[in-house]
Amino acid sequence: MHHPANSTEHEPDHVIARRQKIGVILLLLFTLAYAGFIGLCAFAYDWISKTKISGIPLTVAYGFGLLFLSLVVAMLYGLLSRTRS
Amino acid sequence: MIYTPSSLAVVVFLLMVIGTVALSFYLGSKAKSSAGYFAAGGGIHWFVNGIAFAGDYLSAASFLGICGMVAFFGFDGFLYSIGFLAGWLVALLVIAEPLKRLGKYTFADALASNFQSTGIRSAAGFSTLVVSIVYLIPQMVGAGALVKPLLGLQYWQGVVLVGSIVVVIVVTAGMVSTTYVQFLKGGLLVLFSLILTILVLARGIQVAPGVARTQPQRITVAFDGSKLIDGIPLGLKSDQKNVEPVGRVLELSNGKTSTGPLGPIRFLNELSGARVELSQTNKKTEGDKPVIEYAPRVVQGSDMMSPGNHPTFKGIRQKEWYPKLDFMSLMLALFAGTASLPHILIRYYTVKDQASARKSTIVGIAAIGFFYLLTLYIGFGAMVSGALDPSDSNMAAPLLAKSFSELLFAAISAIAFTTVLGTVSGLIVAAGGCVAHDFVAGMLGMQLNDQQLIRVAKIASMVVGALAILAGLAFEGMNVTYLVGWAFAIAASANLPALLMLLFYKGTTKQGVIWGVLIGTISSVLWIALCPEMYKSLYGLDPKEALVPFSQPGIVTIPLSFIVILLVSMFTSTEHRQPSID
Repeated sequence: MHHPANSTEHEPDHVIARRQKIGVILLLLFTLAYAGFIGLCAFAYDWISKTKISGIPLTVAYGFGLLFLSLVVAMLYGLLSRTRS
Repeated sequence: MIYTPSSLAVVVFLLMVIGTVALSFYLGSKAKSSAGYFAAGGGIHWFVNGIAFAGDYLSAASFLGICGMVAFFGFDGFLYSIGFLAGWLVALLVIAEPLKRLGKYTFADALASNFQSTGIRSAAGFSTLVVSIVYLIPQMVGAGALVKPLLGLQYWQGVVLVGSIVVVIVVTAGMVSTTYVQFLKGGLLVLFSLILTILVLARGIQVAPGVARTQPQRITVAFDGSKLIDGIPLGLKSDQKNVEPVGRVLELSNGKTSTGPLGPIRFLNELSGARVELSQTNKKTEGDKPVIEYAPRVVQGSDMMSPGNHPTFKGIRQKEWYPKLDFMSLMLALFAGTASLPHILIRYYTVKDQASARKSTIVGIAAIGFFYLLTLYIGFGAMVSGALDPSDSNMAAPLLAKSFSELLFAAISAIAFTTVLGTVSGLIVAAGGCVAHDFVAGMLGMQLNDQQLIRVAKIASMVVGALAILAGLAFEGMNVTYLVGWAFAIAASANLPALLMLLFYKGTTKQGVIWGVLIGTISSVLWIALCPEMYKSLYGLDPKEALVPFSQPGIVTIPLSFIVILLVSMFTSTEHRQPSID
């Protein structure tokens, strides 16, 4: 009844485990940056809203930074996954 | 605000809808098997799937809701962008490849794969249905709001129109057509958002002529039920009056009247020094008649670049704990919710292998991240465009486009409409597949062939489509972004803890997964039903009487689900423990 729609890849377990480890480490690093932003907004509102970087409020700069960091982490993971496997 | 229907917009809209439905019929004729219907046969190229991820994900909430929130409340809208994108890293780094490895058609496949448990399949099917229906609500609300200026239709007509078209799309071709509709929609949305942003920067910021408004615009109801604005009949005729748009720049820094074209950083600098007239909506009752006031609200640009202007986020600026918890709870739900949305998860089954799942997610992150960057400029551009509708923040982006040209308005509105169509299609495909595989074939154990499975999914899609229409009508007027926050909280509470525990805790048992999914789903839905925002917006009661202290459940219900899985797993028999995934 349930035929796999795909499932053509069979990687060794150690490759899967290593990639999972890389994913977890990168996710923890990004989570720290994200939690830092949330924490500053919630508990250091005056400081983050008044501090400026090149005339741009730190809130905006940090927000842009998180968007760029997302892309960098995603590409880094793609690169590490490819070379490691 | 009452809009004049644009014939150009109607033509572009009709072309878009006809093209979408024609594509569905064409692709539908090719997909005959259940693998084709539910997972596009696993044959979608990773790049197409990546852009389709963007199409699936950049919903009415992203485009209409975030731009509207930025336009009226500044940086608060961008907080959603940050949270929405951050969630994609959870999907990429820990969910995408295991899900692809373990599942076939639905999210429940992956959860149940190690145990072959109909209990897990039923619980996951239940959560999929709940999340899909809750997430459908803001899409339908967005659709209803959009057709008012586009086609001159009533809100309810828009909701019914979208529901009907989507059911036709889903019933004709399933996942194949949904994928290509999403691909086209995602690509067009990013492209036209870029065009709109370039136009915003090229126009710069100008001080609006005239003086600042001092009195509110008052909408009242006449004895015959018709609406009046400031005592004059509301309408577009010469003896009638329309709601005046807001978003006028009153002052720029250094006494300038116009900035000329600006770069991305300079735009933010100039906006920071500007004073802008926006509006604040006050709803009250005089006698037994409802009165709506759009009171002038003058803001400093620099203040709009900090969080805490929108009622949802104002707690950031307060000393009390509950509002801060509400904020953190929402941001946690956005972070954890993306990797738990059924219509996103099933997209991992449309590509051929884990590498394709990974690469398509990276493409999706690039497209979505770029789009979210643009939403800040589109929202701020709308804020200073002088074209904001004070009665509907969701119309900020289309009306900004209209301030440039009718053609751009037509294109943006039609794309926004297909945005809704695409996301609703994805959700209904996920819900229909879940009913066919998880309930009928899984829980009830009915032996169905390919055609019977597809038929069940199509019937379920029609029922879910009807439910979505009813829900869309019930939630008219609520900000779509806020509604999406709740859908993310339910998804994150129901699905993510079970997925993560299954992947990273070998002691997880099938009872642990079942109870975790059920408690996560039910506790988050109950929390929302009893929260202050529901008391105020849906029940019309005093929010202080709400039974829970804040409106976003994630910070309580996500950990609760983890704890339930852990405790139930510890106390249930070791014979039900999962075999090693590695």
